[in-house]
Amino acid sequence: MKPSNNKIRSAFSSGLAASGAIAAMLLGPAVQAQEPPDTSTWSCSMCPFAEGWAVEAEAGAISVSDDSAKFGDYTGLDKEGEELLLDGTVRYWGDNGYKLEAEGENLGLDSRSARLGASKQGLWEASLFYDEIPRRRFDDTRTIFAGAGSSDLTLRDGWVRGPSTGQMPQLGASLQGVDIDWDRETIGAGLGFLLGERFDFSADYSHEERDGTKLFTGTFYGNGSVLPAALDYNTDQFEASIGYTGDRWQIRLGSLLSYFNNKTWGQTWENPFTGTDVGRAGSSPDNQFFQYNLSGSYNFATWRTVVSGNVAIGKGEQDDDFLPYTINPAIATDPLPRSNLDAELNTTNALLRVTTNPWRRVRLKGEYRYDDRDNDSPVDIYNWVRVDSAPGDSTENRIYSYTRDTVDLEASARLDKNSRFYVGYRYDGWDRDDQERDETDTDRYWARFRFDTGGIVDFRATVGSESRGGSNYKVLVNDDFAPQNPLMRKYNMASRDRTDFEARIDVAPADDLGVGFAATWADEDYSNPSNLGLRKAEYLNYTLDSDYNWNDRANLYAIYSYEKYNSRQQGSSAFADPDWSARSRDEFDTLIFGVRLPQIFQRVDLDVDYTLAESEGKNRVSTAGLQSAYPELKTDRKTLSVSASYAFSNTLSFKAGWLYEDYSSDDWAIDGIEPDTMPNLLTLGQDAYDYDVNVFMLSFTYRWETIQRDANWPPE
Amino acid sequence: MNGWGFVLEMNKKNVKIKAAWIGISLVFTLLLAPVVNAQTPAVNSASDEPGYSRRGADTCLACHDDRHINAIFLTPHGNPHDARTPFAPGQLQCEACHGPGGEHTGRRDRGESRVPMPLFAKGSTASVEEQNAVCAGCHTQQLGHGWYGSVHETEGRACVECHNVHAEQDPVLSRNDQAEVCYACHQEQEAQFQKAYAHPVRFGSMTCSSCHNPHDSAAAEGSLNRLTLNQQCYECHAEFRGPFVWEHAPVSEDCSLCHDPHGSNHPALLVKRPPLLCQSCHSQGGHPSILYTDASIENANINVVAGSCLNCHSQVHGSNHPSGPKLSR
Repeated sequence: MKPSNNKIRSAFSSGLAASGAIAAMLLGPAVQAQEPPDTSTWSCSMCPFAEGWAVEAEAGAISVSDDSAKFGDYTGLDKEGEELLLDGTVRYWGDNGYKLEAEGENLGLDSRSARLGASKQGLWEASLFYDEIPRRRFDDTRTIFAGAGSSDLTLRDGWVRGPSTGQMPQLGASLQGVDIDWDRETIGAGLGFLLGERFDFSADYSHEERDGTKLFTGTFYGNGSVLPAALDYNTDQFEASIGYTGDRWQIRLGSLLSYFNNKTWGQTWENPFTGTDVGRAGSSPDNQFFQYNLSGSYNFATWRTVVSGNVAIGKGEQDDDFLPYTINPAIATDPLPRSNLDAELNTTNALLRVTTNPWRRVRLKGEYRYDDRDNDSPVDIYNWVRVDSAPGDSTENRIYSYTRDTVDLEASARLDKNSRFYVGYRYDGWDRDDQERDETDTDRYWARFRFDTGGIVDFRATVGSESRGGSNYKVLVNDDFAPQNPLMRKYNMASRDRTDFEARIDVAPADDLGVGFAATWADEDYSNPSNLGLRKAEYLNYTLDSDYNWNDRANLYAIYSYEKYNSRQQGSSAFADPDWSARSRDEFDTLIFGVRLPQIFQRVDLDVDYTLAESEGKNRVSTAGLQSAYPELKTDRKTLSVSASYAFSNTLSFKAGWLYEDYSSDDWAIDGIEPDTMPNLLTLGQDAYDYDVNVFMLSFTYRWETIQRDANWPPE
Repeated sequence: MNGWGFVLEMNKKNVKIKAAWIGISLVFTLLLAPVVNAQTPAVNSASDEPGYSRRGADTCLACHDDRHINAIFLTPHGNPHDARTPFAPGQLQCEACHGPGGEHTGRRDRGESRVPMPLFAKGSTASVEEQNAVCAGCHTQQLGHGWYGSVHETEGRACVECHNVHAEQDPVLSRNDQAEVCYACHQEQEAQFQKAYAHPVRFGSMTCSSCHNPHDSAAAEGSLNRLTLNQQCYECHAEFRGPFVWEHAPVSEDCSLCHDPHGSNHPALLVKRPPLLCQSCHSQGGHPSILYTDASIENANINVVAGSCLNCHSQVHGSNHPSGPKLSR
């Protein structure tokens, strides 16, 4: 490849490439005036350039003490027993800039991942990857249905249907364990290469499969069953882009193609209750989305102005064949208005941003963003059937479109070497079709102060105030749907005043010590107190963190965080003025601390980490002098991990680890809800998560290298 | 040849010879200064500004030879076969990023402290803008069109606050280590990922950059990778993309109206439990709007416990079933 003589040198010379031009403008005049030196004698004879191999392989065993779906969620360690611990990396640097990399992680577990990459740096790179994410929701669930995890759930032989769960004589005997879990597996490939000095091209493809069993509730009139339903999704995604980087500008054209395929077409189940025999629900339909994106920027010399933007046109399509109105042959139905929705969704997204520095200490930014979702799907009358049981109404489907305009203006001024002051204004306008409020407009004003010494103290504080209003809030009149109370105000469209504050300070009084404190607070007031719906929301968070490094012999860190969400809402049981209110509060306490002790005993490294994560959720409701509190929602997780590694030599080390996790929770939604607890809902009987698990790990790591790491080669 | 350089390479114990050569070299230097300056202008700049080192990286490595610094040679920056890198033939090696090192590597009088390198060095007085300009000089394409005016750039964050160029594996580019780098400033989010229901960042299954692009907020708010929040969510949750025959309006507008993407105390990362979540917007006469007290929990009311509203309205994200206007099919 032809050397690019200016790329590095341009940073310290004049008359340059685009961002090199910015570099030149930003750097001091002394440096800018530098002539590049004669580097012909700079042989780099002491430089330990990489050529050769570096291989690291870790193999061992993991022992898990107990079954727990929650502990195994994402980790793959959901079952008691032993698992293989296997990780490894292989890297090769060739003698002409070629590089090969292979890595595998958790290869013995359901959370395994692997990657293979090759490249000729400066010319091309290619990669393949595989990734697996295990989801483990519940392992204590039980079902009466046969065919768990399939799209066709049937009652077992001899089942006697009853009007309630208490009148199902075979219920207890029919229950069999079923795990609610699935795996997300993704394979993919990527390719990128440079075309000359200025063009670059990249393409990526991924194929994802999700396969397993999910929760879904099938319902009829007044009763229902929680089903171990089928989950069988594929998503294929292809992206490509080509870009050009000029002296002062860059441009990129990109495309995204995404295909979602659901191998399940409808979820069917036999009704264990008396009444309708069989029900069938729809499945997420196959759909496609295509998007083309043009983006770019130009750097003007005047005032160091940068203009950037992008425009993207997208199209979503969905033409999955409709299921019939009902699976119940006893109900006569009209023909479907069409065989599929033939849905078409057009999206337009655009952004234009300008940043400029008209004076040395002042910076201005303006940004306009446009987002449009135009649902151009057909609207028809559907003579639908109610829960496979009785004729419904003739209803016209509603489709929703919106347009969003956002304007951001910002000005900042450097007060001195360490301080900067910002002010800003934001306008956020929504136009919605077929919803209660045609237009909402939000005006936000904010200010920020920043003080940063570049090492010892970094402080910033932001305060903001915003007000949302818009067109008249109306009650949608649609004979097909029950009307809302005229006093209801949906919180995404309701008029609202919001105040927020955020501050953060980081102090590093010494090179080896850092302390930080941050606080965030926001208050939202939904202006008219006589309305229904969300009335008030408040958010508070503060964190305290510290990090101490003791002579490179120990590192200690600690973080504490408190977070609180408060909200109030009103309702009306009488479909009139507000006659009840509810208050919800969620609080979270998180404490994380750890110690790193490298070479605490000559060749022994010791790491200790502890995490405490607690939450409480409270709901209080009141009406006409009666106050009532829901049971508290609680989660309490404590995780302690200790690991020690001993290096026999530069090539061989041994590692032992122990992890203990204790988790307990109270969840009023499922606590004590057995399959037959609710007379009109047959559940799977899962309990709130409660486990304690010990995990022991032993492994050996072998390293083999031929690469040079030190200037003094060969290494000892 | 420069007389000073010859002196430095001599045996330092041979003081007498050294003194003689100093004298001779001084004469030569004074006589030949214009010629020498023309040959190596950066070292003895007529403007008296600090020049470059004498031998580039070999000068630096004479003192700075340790594993941490040398690890750069295992990284793309240290690949000499790529003409764009600092260590390709003809390039400025360490000084490509750290700036001219003539003053830092020059002779010191006894007791005189060493001047730091102009950039990326302890004691350096370079501003964040100056530091970032060095990186941007080469990494224009990686920064993308949206860097200028993005949140991190506006906040005055330096590239090196997140990127460790000398590390064998830059932690922020590693799936297992990236989040820790982000947590240095974003502790609020670190705590949120510890909640009972959260995206699996703390397990390493996802990283911050799975959803966010720290260089470019030209996409959706929150510096997302995609152009809207919903488009970002559909990357992994395309089953909710639709469009559906029967749409649930807030779903097509903004997933975060009901979900907290970093973490929540509620299943499916909901911001609140149903029925109260649903009753924030639904007030139709009958069961949608009546008050459910704790008695409803004790009595295992189907509108409150288990899935609450979703016990019947299970297709809450929208339904493509022709009989699905109530989102029950």
